[in-house]
Amino acid sequence: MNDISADHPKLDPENALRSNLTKHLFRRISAHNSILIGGGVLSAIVLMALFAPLLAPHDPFAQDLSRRLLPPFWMEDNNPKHILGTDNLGRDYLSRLIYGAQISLMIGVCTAIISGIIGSALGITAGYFGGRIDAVITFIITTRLSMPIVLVALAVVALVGGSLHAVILVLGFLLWDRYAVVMRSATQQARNMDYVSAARAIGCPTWRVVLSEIFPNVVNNLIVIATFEVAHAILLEASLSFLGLGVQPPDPSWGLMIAEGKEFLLFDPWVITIPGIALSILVLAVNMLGDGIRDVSAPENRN
Amino acid sequence: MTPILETVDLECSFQISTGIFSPKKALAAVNGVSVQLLKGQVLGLVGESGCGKSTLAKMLLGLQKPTKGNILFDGQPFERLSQFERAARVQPIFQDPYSSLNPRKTIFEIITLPLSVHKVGTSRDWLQKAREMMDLCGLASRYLNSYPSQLSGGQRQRVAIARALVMKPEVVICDEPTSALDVSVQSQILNLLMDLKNELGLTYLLISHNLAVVEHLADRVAVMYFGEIVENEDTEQLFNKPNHEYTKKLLNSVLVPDPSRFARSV
Repeated sequence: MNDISADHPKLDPENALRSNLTKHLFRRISAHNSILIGGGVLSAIVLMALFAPLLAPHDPFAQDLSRRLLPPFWMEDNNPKHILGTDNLGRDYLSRLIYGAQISLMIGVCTAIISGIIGSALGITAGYFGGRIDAVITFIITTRLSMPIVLVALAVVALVGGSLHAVILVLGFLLWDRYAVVMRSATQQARNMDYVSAARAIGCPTWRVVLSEIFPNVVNNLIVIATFEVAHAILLEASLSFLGLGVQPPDPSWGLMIAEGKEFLLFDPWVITIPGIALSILVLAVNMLGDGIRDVSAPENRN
Repeated sequence: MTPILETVDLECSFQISTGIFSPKKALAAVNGVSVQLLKGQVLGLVGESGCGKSTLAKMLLGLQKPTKGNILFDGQPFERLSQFERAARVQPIFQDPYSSLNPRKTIFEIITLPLSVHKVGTSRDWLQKAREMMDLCGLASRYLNSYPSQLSGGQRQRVAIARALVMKPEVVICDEPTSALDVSVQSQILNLLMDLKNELGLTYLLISHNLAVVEHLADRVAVMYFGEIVENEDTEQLFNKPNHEYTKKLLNSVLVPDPSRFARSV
């Protein structure tokens, strides 16, 4: 019976396997194209947003009406000082794009965090306790799902006035449904596992069972949904700003830049194209990263 | 000898809804069960699937509240003990070692969870204790920082046993401890359980489908049928001279290599 207990004295038992596991995970990540591409593009955008004051060639708010609507570098009559041209008030488009990344990312991340906390708290509670609590929370989820997001967001923002904080809060309190639904079913699965019974038989208090036995086993769902919700929130902010109810001028949000460009669609389509492409790339990168994390982190794929 | 764990007319029923308008029906999973676990002995519990064995085990672990009847631990009513005190004295070993270990925790964390929940000792003692338990259960201490997914089924079950025994419980409820394992590993685990019983003076409630295992290990055997104990006898007595009709059928249902030679008369 002791044949498996043969000890390897040379092996440092504490660290060997853990570093092995880390290496393994690292290898899987580095072999996963969508994580590499999505993560690479996303971190480039994040760095761009963080170091915006250093990277932006001009003040994004400085207007110069003598230089309005200068075309970007690939067109004729471009001005080498303004690589991506200028907008209708003569503000440097590249600088506005770089500063705009800050706002888009902030809205995406803050919304995902707020809605993630609300949604997973509701979902885990419903999934773990079941019964009446589940029925009540399921009703709340259904109620939320029956409300059209854009309409509610428009109504609330119109009521309290559009600002960055208002948009983040409104979207945060609206986008938790997917977290709640997924966390609820993941928790229902996890709570029927024997390790939960074992923890309860050990005498673990409920909060500890939920936090240390169930939560670590459902958290990878949370990360995956969070990435999708970041993309979702960024797009919604763009639509709200496009409708004039999101971020207010002169703040440079990408959605607002698209909205401001719509008047010039016919003769200067690049005014819309540039922030549009930036937004698509950001959303695509976030989604690719989310897909990749889901592939790599699923526990059944471990080893 | 005094029973260390005893149930008196234990009952557990579930309310089952049969439709929106019809009233709920009660399904008695365990119906008036009285069994006694004597200290240092092994009580085998056999019966077909769905006869209430696992519900009984859950009640003994405090995971399910009985609807009627009493559980006495050392003569004291079980409800008077908190889940904390219960946990220190009665511990489970589950059937499926693939689901009984949290896949996100290391073996060290799994084995020392009872210690950290009950706030026993410092983290330095835990390492010592975990090594001790792993050694006792025949696991190399190099697995201390492994995850369950890196271990085989038999090794996982050894981890589960180490976790169950780390608080030095008096009674261990083994709910089909080997049915999810390879045949070759089954005997290793059963031998380990018996060695540990002798070494630590444990009392087992051994729930099993495998009658050969029960016959080999148990001192007494209780036969459960539709939530009731139909026969509760010394092992030898039960296997040689079964009284109840159901026990006879159960014993007869065991597959033997050569039925013409080993047939038991009904």
